[in-house]
Order: sequence, then structure tokens, then C-alpha cells
Amino acid sequence: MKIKQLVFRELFQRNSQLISSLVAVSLGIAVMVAIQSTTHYSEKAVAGELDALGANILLLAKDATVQDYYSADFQQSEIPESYVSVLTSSGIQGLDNLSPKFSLPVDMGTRKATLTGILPRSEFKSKATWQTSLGVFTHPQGCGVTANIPGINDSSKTLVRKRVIEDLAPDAVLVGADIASTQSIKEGDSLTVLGKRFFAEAILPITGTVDDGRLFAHLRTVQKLAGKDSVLHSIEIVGCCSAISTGLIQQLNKLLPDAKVVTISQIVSTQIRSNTIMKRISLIMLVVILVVGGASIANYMFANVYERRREIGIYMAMGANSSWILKLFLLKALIIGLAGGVFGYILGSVLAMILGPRIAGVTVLPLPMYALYSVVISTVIAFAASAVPAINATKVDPSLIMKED
Amino acid sequence: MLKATNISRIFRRKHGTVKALNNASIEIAKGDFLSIIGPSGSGKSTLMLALGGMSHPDEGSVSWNNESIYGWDLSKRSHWRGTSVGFVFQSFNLVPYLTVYENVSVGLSLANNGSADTKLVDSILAEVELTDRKDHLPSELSIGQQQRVALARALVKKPRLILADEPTGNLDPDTGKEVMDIIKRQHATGTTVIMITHDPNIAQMAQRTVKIVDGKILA
Repeated sequence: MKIKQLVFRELFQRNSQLISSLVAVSLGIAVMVAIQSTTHYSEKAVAGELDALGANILLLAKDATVQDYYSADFQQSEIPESYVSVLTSSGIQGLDNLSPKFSLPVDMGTRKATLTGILPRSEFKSKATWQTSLGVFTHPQGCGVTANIPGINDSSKTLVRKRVIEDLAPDAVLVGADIASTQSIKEGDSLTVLGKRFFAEAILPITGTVDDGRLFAHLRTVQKLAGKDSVLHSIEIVGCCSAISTGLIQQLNKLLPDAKVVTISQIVSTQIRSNTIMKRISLIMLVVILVVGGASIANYMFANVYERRREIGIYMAMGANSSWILKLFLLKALIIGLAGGVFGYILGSVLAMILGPRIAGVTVLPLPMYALYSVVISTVIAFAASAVPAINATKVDPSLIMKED
Repeated sequence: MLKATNISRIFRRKHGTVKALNNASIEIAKGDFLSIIGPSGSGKSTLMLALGGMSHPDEGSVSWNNESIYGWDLSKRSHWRGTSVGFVFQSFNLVPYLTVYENVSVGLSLANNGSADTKLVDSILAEVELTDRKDHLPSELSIGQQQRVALARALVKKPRLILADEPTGNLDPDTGKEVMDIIKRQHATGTTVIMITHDPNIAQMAQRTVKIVDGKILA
């Protein structure tokens, strides 16, 4: 008869205490899996939202203000265009997109507008030094759901959401929704801005931001109209949200000390706060699992060893040595750990799938990786809690047990 | 073959110490059938456990073929018990959640590092007339049947030494006789038997009898 058969027979014969300790471990693991799964999908959803919002970092001249940037883009302070090269060749991780901009005020007759020069992605690709950069335009894993944004292939939407457009002819202009509406501009119309003739390549969707009052043209065209060369007013950066929370801003400040790096702080801090809270809850749950689950298993094992002292003595009389006795109890701990991990994972995943949409407003699916974590944590707890009782079992004095006859 | 020399065993309790064995000496030759008699608390069971390598004497030595069994490491002593010694207890000490077959085969598995010859198990169950009960749990057996399972468990590994502690103590005379018949048959095959009893009728079935009183062997 194999030792594992012996363990299984004992487990199934005396299952009441086993069930209670198994429930304690499974529940602990389940709560942790549920929180972690919900957090995972919640973070993805938040990242996706941030991603869809567009730029979350602005690079401005040292003396410029965010107010300048949002109010009219007419700030006088400029930054060198070489900053783009510095950024793309820096190797800093977490820079999803860069959008260098140069803006000019324009009079559209009945209203004032802003002509903003942007650099299409094709320009980045044409520059060898910019191509070698890591991170930019590559959307590292964990930075949101860019690939899933509906209509991402639509260039006008891409510009709005990701601040990037693939190609832009020197005489093409993308017209903000407000301007198009007030000036009755349609796609394909021609219009004159600052004495230069443009054609409206696309009308941008309504964004509810200052972009609705802008015209977007090629950066070189706008720089030429202003008589400026190789200068910018700002660089909009779409930073990976997790990278922002782990020091991207500090890295940018260090890289470009003469520029002002500002974040959409509220969004970022909300994300950081939310992540921190979830992480703390998970940590608390881990401690609870360690204490409750471990104590429950330890209590069960101590009682089991005490209850089986005579049986241990019998095995010793039949030739069992200390390592066999130790194996007998540790194998049992292994089974409890594995079962607790598996049950906990299944229960936690189901809980997350049911409660995730209600609590966090996100759809939660089981994360297979957490099955491994659950089993490992549960098994480690079971082993740790069973170690002392199992060692005690090997020290049972068979003579005392036999004398209880 | 088995020799105890001036062994003493002291148990420390809350209210003092108990000297269960007091300079006890005994020598058992190969193939002997020895019975040990004595009143309750005289140290019979302690002596048996000491002879079986289960209770380290505080003083003296126990040797098997001139080798001190308590000089061996735990692993060697366990192996010796597993292969050479068969214990039979008054209260049977069967594992309650294992069937008759499993109770017998677990003894063989421990002696053979995990494997149990099913033919051997079947044959010993046939010998103790429990083949038809092999899938029953101990709680489903009569007292006599339980003791026969305990005997089968001790005998299945063909031990060279049987240590039986009051094997008929809980049995009625007829069942006790059945159990003694099995033990005598085993002795007839050359197995050394040491049996503790306080029943003079049972004791006289052995080749010789020694008496133990207050931890001392008198004769």
C-alpha cells in the first residue's frame, strides 16, 4: 500500500476537520483572487480610458503655463525641436506617442482659431534616429487598450485620441468640429489661412476640448508660415499610465532640465491612488490568508497528530521511520494546499466575474496565471502551518502510546 | 539471538518517577517460545517494547545477534523492526480507516519500502481465515477477527521474532485458543516468540516462562 493511498484514505475517513480548514484556505485565496482579478481588469479599463483621452504629459518651455497651452496656444516661449530627437533616442520606456506642436493664431473672419502644426507619423519613420527609439509608438504591454479602440484606423479619430496621424500633405488641413460648423467647411473644401491655400482633408469629430477650435496642418507648413525653423511650442506625450506612476515624469525632468514637464495630474494621481488602495487591500488579504488559513491548518494538523498518536506508534512498530511519518503529514499538507489553491482560484474567479461588473463596472474574466499563484501560496501556507505538527509526529514516543492499552 | 542486559527504564511523571524496568536481564535463543508473566504494572509491556527496539532503556543494553539495537541509528532500527519483528498487541491497534486487506498490506509495504506482495497478503488472510472479510473495516469485525487481522499483519512479513503483548487478553477462551494455535503454528516454522500474558494457562503453552515483578525478572 502506497503512502499516498494511506493519506487519501485518512483524509476521506476523517473529513470534518479537513473540510473546515480547506474552507478557510479556499475562502482566503478566493477573496485574494477576486480582488486581484477585479483590480487587474479595473486597471486595464482605467488605462484604456486614459489611453483614449490622449496626451497625458505636456512638455512646454520653462516659463510657459498650462493655462497658456489650453487657452490659446499663443505663448511666445518656444522649445527646440531637437527635444523630439532627445526623447526618441533616450530609450525611456513608457512613451507611447509624441506629438510636437507649433501653433499660430488665425482669424477665420467671424471667429478666432488656432492653426496647429503637427508632425505625422511618417515623418518620424523617415528619420533614422527617431526610428531606433524604443517605446514610442510601440504601445508596450500593459499600457492600455490602444489596439482595441474602435476606429483606430480612421486617421481623424487617431489624431484626436492618440495625437498621431499617419500622413499629412503640406497643403492639407484637418478642421476642428467647431470651426467646420461655424465656417461651414466640409471635407475637400478649400480655404485660405494666413494667406496660404489649404484643402480640408478631414473634419475632426467633436471632442469637447480646445481641439474643436483648431485647424491642424503639417508642422513644417506652420513653421514656414510663422517664419520659424526647428522650434516648437509644446510636445504632447502619451505616456504609459503605469510608467507615469513609476517615475516617467522624473525621468523626463532629468532628461530635459530646461523644459517644463507637466502631467494631467488629477488623472494620474487618481490612477496611482486607485492602484495603491487595491494593492493595500490585496496585501491585507494576503496577511489575513496567512493568519487565518495557516492557523486553521495548523490547528487541524496539531489535532490530527494528537488524535493519531497511537496510529503513529503502530506504524513505527511496523517499521516506519521518522522520514516516513514526516512524509505522511507533509503529503497531507500538500493535498490540502493544492486543493485549497484550486478551489480558491475557481471560487475567486467566479466571485470576480459576478461582482466585478457591479463593484468596479468592468467585465472580469478568469486569469489563468492566478491559478498558479493561488496554488503556490496555498501550498506554501499549508506546508508552513504543518511543519511543526509533522515534526512533532516524528517525535511521538511509541512506548507511551502502547502503554495506554 | 536477543539479549537484554541490566536494562532499566524510568518514566518521569508530574508526581514523580516510575521505574518500569529495574536492571532486567533476559536472553532468548533463536526459535525460543518464551512467555513473560507478571502482575499489572510490573513492567511486562515496557520490557517487550524495549526488546522490540521501541523504547530506549535508560540503562543497560539490548542486543540482536550480538549487535546493540540501540547502538544503531533510527533508520536501521526501524528497518530491523519492519523486517524482523512482528508486534501483536492486546488491543489489536488496527488502523481504523483501512480495510482488513490494507491493514495487513501496510505492514508488508513498510517492510519492503512501499511494495506489498498481494499473494503473500492473500495467503496470510487465508491462513487466519479472513479472506471473505478482507474488504471490511476493523469496526465491522468481531473482537476475535480483529486480533486475527493483527496477527496476520505481524506474520505477513515472515518475521524472525514475534513480540505478543497479551494477545488473548481481550478474547474469550475459544477465540483465544484460535489465536494461540496460529502463534504456535508460526513458532513451529522456527520463529522466535516472546509473549506477555498473565493467564497461567496461556503461559504454559510456551517452552519456558519467566516472571517479572517491579521491573525485575525473577526466573
